[in-house]
This record gives sequence, structure tokens and C-alpha cells, in this order.
Amino acid sequence: MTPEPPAAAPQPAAELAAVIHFGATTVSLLICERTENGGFSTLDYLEKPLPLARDIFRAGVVSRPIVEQGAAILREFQQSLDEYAVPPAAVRCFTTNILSEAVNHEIFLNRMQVTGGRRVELIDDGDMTRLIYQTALRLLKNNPGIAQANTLVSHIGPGNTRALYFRKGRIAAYSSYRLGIFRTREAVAHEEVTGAQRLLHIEEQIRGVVDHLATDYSHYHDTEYHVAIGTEIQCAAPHIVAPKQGASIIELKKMEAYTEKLAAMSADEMVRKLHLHYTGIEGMVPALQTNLALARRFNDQLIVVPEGDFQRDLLMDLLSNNPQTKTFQDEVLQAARIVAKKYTTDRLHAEHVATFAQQIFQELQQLHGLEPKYELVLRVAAILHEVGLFVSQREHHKHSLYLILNTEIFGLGARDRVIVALLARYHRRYNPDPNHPHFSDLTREERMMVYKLAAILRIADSLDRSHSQRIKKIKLSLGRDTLFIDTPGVEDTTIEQIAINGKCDIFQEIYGYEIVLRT
Amino acid sequence: MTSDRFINRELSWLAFNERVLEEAERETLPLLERVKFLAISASNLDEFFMVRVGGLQIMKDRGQRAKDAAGFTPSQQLDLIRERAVTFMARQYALLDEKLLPALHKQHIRRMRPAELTAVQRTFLEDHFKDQIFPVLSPLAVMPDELPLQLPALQIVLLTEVKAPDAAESRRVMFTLPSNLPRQVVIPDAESGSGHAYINLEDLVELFLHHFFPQEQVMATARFRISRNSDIAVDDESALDLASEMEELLEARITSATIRLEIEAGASRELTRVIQRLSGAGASQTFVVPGELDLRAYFSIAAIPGHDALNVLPWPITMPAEIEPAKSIFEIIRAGDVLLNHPYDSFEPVLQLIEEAAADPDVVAIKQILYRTAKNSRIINALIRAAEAGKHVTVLVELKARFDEARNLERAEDLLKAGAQIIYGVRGLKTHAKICLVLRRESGRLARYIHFGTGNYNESTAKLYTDISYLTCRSEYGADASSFFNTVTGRSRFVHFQKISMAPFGLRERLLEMIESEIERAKQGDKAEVMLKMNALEDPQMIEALYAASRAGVKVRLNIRGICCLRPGVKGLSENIRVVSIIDRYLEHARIFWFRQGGEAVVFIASADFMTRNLSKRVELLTPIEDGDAKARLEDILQTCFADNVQARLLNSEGVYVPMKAEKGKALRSQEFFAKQAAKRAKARTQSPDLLVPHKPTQVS
Repeated sequence: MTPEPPAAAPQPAAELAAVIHFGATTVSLLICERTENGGFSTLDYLEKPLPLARDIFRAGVVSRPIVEQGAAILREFQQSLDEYAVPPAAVRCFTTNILSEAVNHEIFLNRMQVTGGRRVELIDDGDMTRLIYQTALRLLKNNPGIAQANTLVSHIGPGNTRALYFRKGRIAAYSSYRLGIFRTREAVAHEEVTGAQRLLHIEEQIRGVVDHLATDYSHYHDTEYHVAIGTEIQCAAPHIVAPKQGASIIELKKMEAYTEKLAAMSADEMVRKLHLHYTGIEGMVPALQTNLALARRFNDQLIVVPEGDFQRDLLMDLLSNNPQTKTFQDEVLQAARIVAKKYTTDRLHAEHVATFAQQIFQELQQLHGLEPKYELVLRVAAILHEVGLFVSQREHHKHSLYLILNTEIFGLGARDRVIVALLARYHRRYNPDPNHPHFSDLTREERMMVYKLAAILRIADSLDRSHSQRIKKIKLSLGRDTLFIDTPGVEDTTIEQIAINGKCDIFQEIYGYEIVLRT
Repeated sequence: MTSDRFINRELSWLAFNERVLEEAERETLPLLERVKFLAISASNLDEFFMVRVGGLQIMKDRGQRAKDAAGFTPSQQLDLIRERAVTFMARQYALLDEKLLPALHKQHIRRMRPAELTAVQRTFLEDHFKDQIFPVLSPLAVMPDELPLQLPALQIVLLTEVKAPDAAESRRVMFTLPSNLPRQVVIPDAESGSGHAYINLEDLVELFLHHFFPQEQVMATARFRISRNSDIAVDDESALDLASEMEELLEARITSATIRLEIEAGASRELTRVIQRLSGAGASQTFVVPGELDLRAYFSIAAIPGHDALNVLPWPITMPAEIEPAKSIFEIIRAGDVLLNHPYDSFEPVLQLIEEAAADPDVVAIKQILYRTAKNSRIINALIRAAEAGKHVTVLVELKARFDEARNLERAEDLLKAGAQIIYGVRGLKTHAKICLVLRRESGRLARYIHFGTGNYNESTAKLYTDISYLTCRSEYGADASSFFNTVTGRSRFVHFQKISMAPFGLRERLLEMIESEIERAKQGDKAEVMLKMNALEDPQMIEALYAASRAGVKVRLNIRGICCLRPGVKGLSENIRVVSIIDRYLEHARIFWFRQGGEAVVFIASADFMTRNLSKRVELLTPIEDGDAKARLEDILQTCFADNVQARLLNSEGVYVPMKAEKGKALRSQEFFAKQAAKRAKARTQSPDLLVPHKPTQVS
């Protein structure tokens, strides 16, 4: 018997990853393979229309047919994932943040989770801001001239508009508005007009919010560039002016003429005659008109639009799951400091507490087991925990809660902001109660997180009880049932120990360790 | 009879078929090749009537008076077609009767008439009739007040009048000659013995028809054949199940309206009237044929074995130099793009790609468009094997490929059973693109191998049609191919491509841009030039763009095998446009578009012609070829086609195709040139430069 020749060993599988994104008008799937330098290269990109924004802004609910259509698209996308043999664990699924405005968003999320067999994450405002910030940074990196200048970056999204003001590459101001392409489109959709009249209706509809935005930034007289980011404008820009150095620099007049031309066309005509892509075409006219309105309000003569496909870049950023970079974290902390300054908090104390809190979070990682991104949430809470003093000394923790809840903080999503506010609320000796407003809205996991982080914040705050930063350094060590905190250089820590004893029972409850200060 | 700016497309098509007939008339061609061209011209005409005339007839019946680009209403076009078709048929029969049949006779291929039969032959045939034909013929009595019948299309029918001696009136009976019986019945040749003598089936049946009527007398017989309208619009929008809808269409074709009635000359006026009534054909649809019906039968005569001297010497189909038989096709493509000029270059590498992919454990997916496939297609067999082996096989089977629906349907079910994902075409559009994508694991990465073609995945026609294949694994083309399949399978909406263009999403616009760009260059005083090779040029917008190019001074050369509605050489309109058509042994089928672009030529291959249906109503692909060698080769192919002065005809401003005249010793026949060139390339491969092959004396055993 002759032995069979050995079969050729099969080639090793590629390392693949994919991301599905339910956007305002489309569901897209990006399938990538890992490159040798650790990045990702695109293997396939699929996109199907799903008018989520229409439902959300028209009726405040995702209709049944759209839910079914979404599920059907997921099943179709699964075929492509199977063809490429993308491991289930390497596929992430997200939805646009505007979904949260639909009353049945949880039902939608659940249905997609059940259909796709994987968790569907709602991109929150903070993540969205981070993604926009990354896009802006890419542009600044390619254009040192713009990077060194004072630049207003605007992103007109499907439901919200974000404005970021950069001074020499750092964020000086940030805000977001309920001004969005599809919010606008739906508001004027019942009026069946085209051409110039349509543009006029859009302009009337958005005037109030545009004025508000302009007023917020009116004290930035030194703006040198206006950068516009977004699916629609990035799709249209190369057709108006050919990009150079990664951006199209468009004269306002040209953009006005182009927008007028589009306003008189159907979607098919835009594709056929102007070679636009179907992606983003539904919101093209309101998007361009909103950008124009902003530019006019700021008296801009030029608009800078980064080259690239916003939608695909968004998916790539989601796929890369870039942990918050240090630069981004610095920007968030800087934004928090601006807020803290506004409410005249004790800056040195706040920074000192933040530093201790960071150290404790990092060194007790094994104990709390929280994701690294919550370190930032904790640090922001430390910086802002006393903003309530601006209102009154009495019950200042409660004032901190509502001030934070109602303040835009760059890079923090609504959920994170609630956590920050609750941490500020619980930085004193009052423990969380399931009946407390906002705390009661949290999931069990989130409540646990508030407990854990509040416990750390209380230690950090206690360590600067005197507000004098006399304890410069701390060293942590764990005993069998005790957390020892050494305070080198400080001989008497009685006051801090009293503070700890007074409010750190929560730490012992959560972690099972008693806290002992050692000199 | 054409307008100033455009040539009517139907007349242009008829002119093409006249060029085919000219090949049959060409006395320098071997006899059986001429006979084959006659049969082709007949088959072409059948299809033309069924589809084009059928469509025009519907338009006329609906009272549509919209004019075509050349300025004719449907009714006017039908009149023009009839006039030209009558002349054409007269020319076909004159050629057959005066030239081909006598020449065949000389070569002992004889069509025997009943009167010429010897007693022995007659007895032989009578026996044959009783054994083989009588049992399968079904007489159908025709009542005097019979309403129009659903007569079978494209089959010869005999209507005979019989009368019993004691009956007051005669009666009529109809026989349809079954399509599964051979049209020619071979009989022992009393004259030459070794020759090929035959009698036509209709002659034989008529000769022994009396066997059906032992008590009656056959008074008269007429022969006829009808063609039906098959140009039926498929209502895709309301179709839930496309496959079953196509089956209905196939059935519908049998019962659709008669658009042509051919009656063999000699039928009585009375029988002619009965036939017209039965078939529902009016005088304008009736053609009296001056000879035997259905000249497609001459395909069998052209294929009679044992007459090599009467046939053309076959040109070899060779394996291109870069294809090493022992090497994996994937390795070959990885080493460099492969451009194949079929049929001179074998179609085998394309088959090899799909067959090797089916068996390769590292191949994870195969995606393929199938339009018209061969019988027992190797490609479908390979796809079935791949699906059975657990690979992801996605096949778009185009059910709307005219006349081939039945075959396509059957294969679709086989694929489905094997586990392949089948898509029955795209709603509202015919999928005409020729593309295959293979996804393969290689060293921890996924590689994509793509075949782009200008012809169908049909290994049989690949031996008869000139086409281009392009095999590549360039990543941008791979990404585009994936996006293309995502679009046609409905998994994604159309997203933009990096390299290729797709109809109906921008292919037309890209071509217009290319022409526009040449115009701009010409206006700036640069040398501007366009060379286009295709099967048909009909789309008014594309024609206007070419006129604009001509007016701007762009040199435009067009190699168009069939329909050309552009009128070249008109001063102030098209004086810089030259149109040639090549009709030769192989059917010219490649689409190659070349634009000078200031010397950095941009070259495309495509599945689309410049026809409105291709550019607006079909899924088509336009593929730029960027590999330097492949580009140069495509340019050579075009230059050679334009240099052809043997088989090429030049279209003049009157719409007439004029044969080219070669100077003595400077004759160039492009197809022959390509065949020799391919043989040379193959020879260069087999003869390694460092290995000498000595002549050795033949061993006598």
C-alpha cells in the first residue's frame, strides 16, 4: 500500500475584524484585515439604506418595517462575514447616537442584538465627539498651517451639530446643538418645494440655532479657518474643488452655486450628472445649506473640508477602537478645567484630588476591575466635584450634580456625564440610595461603578482635607484586609484619617479593606 | 433612406447580415465555409425577425408613432425592413441555387428532388418513411372555419388538400415536421456511390403523404414556416419569483403573435389564404420564399464529415506563453497580469482559474456572473464542486439571456442543490458583465483573483468568438470586484469603485468624460485620438459625443462588427471618423476602448457596446487595463484590426459598406495575423532558448 502524499498544509487564516454601523440613513459593514504594521486594511465595504433618521425625527420612534428591514440587513451582512470567515468575537456593532431619541430605541437595540447574536452598542455623544476630534486632528496633522492657526471645526451630523474651537492645535471651546441634517430635513419635508425656495425654507428653519452657535463663539474674533466635517460635505467637496494636501478649500460663492444646483435635482440626477455617490445623498442639500448658513454667519470666505469618506473613516475608527489617546484625555481634562474655572473652584485642590484619584484607580485596578476609560471619568469628577460651591456651601454636592448634568463637557457622553455628576454628588459622606434621582436610572453595573469610583474619590478628597496639598505623595500597599496609605514627609495625618473614617466606610463595604494612613 | 445624422439601426443590422452573406458569396473561401455563412445569415435573420421586427410590430400595433434617431416611425421602419429583407432573401436563394448547390453537386453533395430519385432510392426512402417518419407525424385536420391556430414557431409545416373520390369537397390537413427529425435524409447515391446524397425532409414527407390518406387523393400541398414575436417585455416589478416568471415567459413565447410567415413558392392562392388565416399573418408579414424553407439546415451540410478539402484549414488555438501547464494559475497571476486574446489564445486559463479554485483548500469563496453558458459547462460543474466542498459560491445566473433561459434555469437548480447562493439576475436590469472573483487565503492574508472578460463564460463560443480576458490579483481591482458583487447580489447599494466603472452607475459618464478629455486636448492643439472596437454603436448620446470629437479634430477610428448608427465622413459632422467592420471566420466580439490622452494612453476592456440598452439598462463593466504589456498588446490588436484590408469593409457616408482593397503583397487579414502571432508566441515558449532540438531520423519499426 502506497502512502498518500501529504496534503499541503492549509494557509494560515488572515486576522480579520469587522464593524457594523447603523447610521442615520444607512447600515454599513466594514471588513478589514490586520496589516503587518498592526493597522487595518479594508477588505470589503457594504452599505444598505435604512432611513432611521426619517423615523426618529418624524415620529420619534423606529417603525416596525424599519426594525424588520434592519434585521434583514444584519442577516445579509452575516453572509459576507461568513464568507470571509470573520470570527464572531472580532465583529462589533454600533448604532448612531440619534437612535437614543427614539422612544423604542431599546427595543430596536435588543432586536438587532438577538438577530445578529452580538452586542449592539449605541455610540454616545462622547464617543462621537472623540471620532470627530480624530478626524479634525488628521486634517490638522496634514496641514501644519491650519494646525498652528485658530480654527473652528464644525460637524453637522444627522441630529446634532458640534463645534470645536482649536487654538494652535488645542481645544479652546466645545459645544453641541440640536441642529442636524435630518432634524432639519424632516422639519421642512412636508413642504413640497424645490430649488431656491427649498433652500430658503431650510435657512429659516435653522436660523435660530445657527444664531445661538454664532453667539457662543462670538468672542473668538481671531478665527482663521473654518473646517467643515461630515458625511455629506466631505462627499460633495471634491466635486466643488479638487483637494490639495488632504483638503478642499472652497470659496463660499462656489459652494453656494453648487448647493443651488443640487437643490433643483433628484438624488438620481445628483449621482448621474454630478457623479456624487449615493452615500449621504439624502441629506446633501440640508447639509450644504447648514454649512453655508454657519459660514455666512461667521463671515467666512473659505471653507476647508478634509478629504476622505467620513462614513468609512468613522467605521475604521470604531474598528480600531482607539483607546482614548493621551492627547484626547488631556483635551477632556482641559475642557473640565475650563468648566471648573467658570465656577471658581479651588483649582489646586481639585488637581491634587484628581492626581491621587488617578493613582488609586491605577494601583487598585485588580480590585475594581473597571475599564481604563473610567479613569478619565474619575479624574473629571475630581476636577469638578466642588463646582457646586459656586451656588452654595450648603449641600454643595447636590449643586455640583445639577451643574455638571447641565454642562457640556468635551469628550464626555451623556452617560459619562451622569456618572461624573453622581460622583460629585457622592464625594461627601452621603451614600448612594437607589431612590436618588439619576442614580436610580442607572443599570446595576453602572451603579456598582459609581460605588467603586465614589469610594476612590472620597479617599482622594480626604487626603487633601486641608485643601493645602500638604500630602504631596502617597504610597499604597495592601495588607490582608487593610489598604495602607503611606504619606511620606507628613508626620501627622490625623485630620485626613478622620476624614477617611468619616466617609470611607463605602470603600470598606465595596472592597472589603479598611483604610489606614501611615506616616 | 436614412436621416442625415443617424443610420437607422434596423437597416444597419440588415447591412451587417448582408456582409455575412457576402462571405458566403466570397469565391475565394472554401465551399463549406461559404455554406456555413449562408446558414449563419439565415439564423441571424430569424432572430432579427423574432426580436426586432417583433418589437416594432408591437409598437405599431399599439399605435406608437414615435420616431427613432434616424427619423422613422415604427410603421415606416417595418416597410423599410420588408423591402430590404425581400431583396436579401432573393440574394440568399440566388446564391444557393446558382452557386452553392451546383458547386456542392460538383463535390458530390447532392440535394435530390423527388423527380430525380431512382426506383431503388425511392423504395429505400419509402421504407424509411414508414419506419421513422410516419409514426411521429401527427396529421391535424383543418376545418374550413378554423380560427387562427397556435402554430409551432420556426418549424416547417405542410398544409395539404385531400379529396375522397366520392366527396363533394376537399378537406385540408396540416403536418408539422418534428424538430427532432433531421432535416436532410441521407440516401444511397446512385451516381457517385461515395458521395453524399440527401433529400429534404419536407420533400420526403410530401412524396409519401398518401400513406396517411389511403381512401383519398392528395390534391395540393403547401409548405410554410412562421416566426413569432419573442421581444416580450418582462415585468420585473411585479414578479415575486423571477424564476417562475421566466418559465412563464418561455411558455408565452410559443403563444405570442406571428410576425413573419414564409411560404415556399409554388403554393396555390387558395392554400396561401388558408395559411395566412391560420397563422394570423397579413400580407405585410407574408414572404414568398423562392426555394426551400429554413436555410439554417445548411449548418449540417457545412459540418458533413470527410470533406476537409472543402473546409478552411483550422487555425490552432494555443496556450499563451505565460501559462505554464504545471504551474498553479494563482502563481501565474501573482507573477503578473495575464491578458488573453481569444480564441487565438486558449480559454483554458480562465477555466483553470475556476476549476483550480474549486479544488483548492485555501480558496474560501468564488463569485461569478453567468449569462450564456456552454452545454455541460465546465464552469458550472466546477462551481458545483466548489459549493459541495463547502466553499462560499455565489452565482448570478442571468435568466433574461434571450433564447437561453431554459438552459440557464436548469443549471441554476443544480447549483442551488449543491449549496451555492444563486441570484436570479437583478430586477429591472440584465446582468451582462463578465466577471469572476476568487477569494483565497495566502500567508495569513486574503488575496483576490479576478477575471474580467468581454465574452461569456462559455468554453464553446470561446473557440468561435474573438474576446479579451484579463486576469489580475491587483488589490484595487479585487476591492472593486467585491463591491461589484455586493451591489449585484443586493447586499450593498452601489458604492464607488477605485478602478472599474459599472453601468448603469457611471459607465456611460466615464466614457463620455474620456471622449470629452480628448476633445479638450484637440482644442488645445494636442494630438487627440480615439480607437474603439465594439459590436454595435447605436446610443445617440455616444454618437453625438463622437461627432463632437470629430468636429474638434479628434481622430476617431471605430471597429464595429454589427450595427453602426453613426454616419462617418460627413463634412462638418464626422469627417474625422472612420468606421470599419470585420466579418471573418471568428465572430468579432471584443470590446476595447483606447484613448490617446496625450500619449499616456488609457485603455479599457468592456462587456458593453455603445448601445442604450447596454449603457442604461444593463449591468455592465468597464475595466481599465493599466499593466504596460497588456496595454501595448491591446493597442496592437486595435491597430491590426484597423490595418485589415482583406476582411474589413469601410462604412461610407452613404451608409454603405465598401470592401477594402489591399495593395499587391500588402494584404493583411487580422484574424489570420492573430492566429499566426499566437502560434509564434506558443512556439517561443516550447522552444527554450538554451535547449536545442536536433532533427532525428524517424525510427522504422
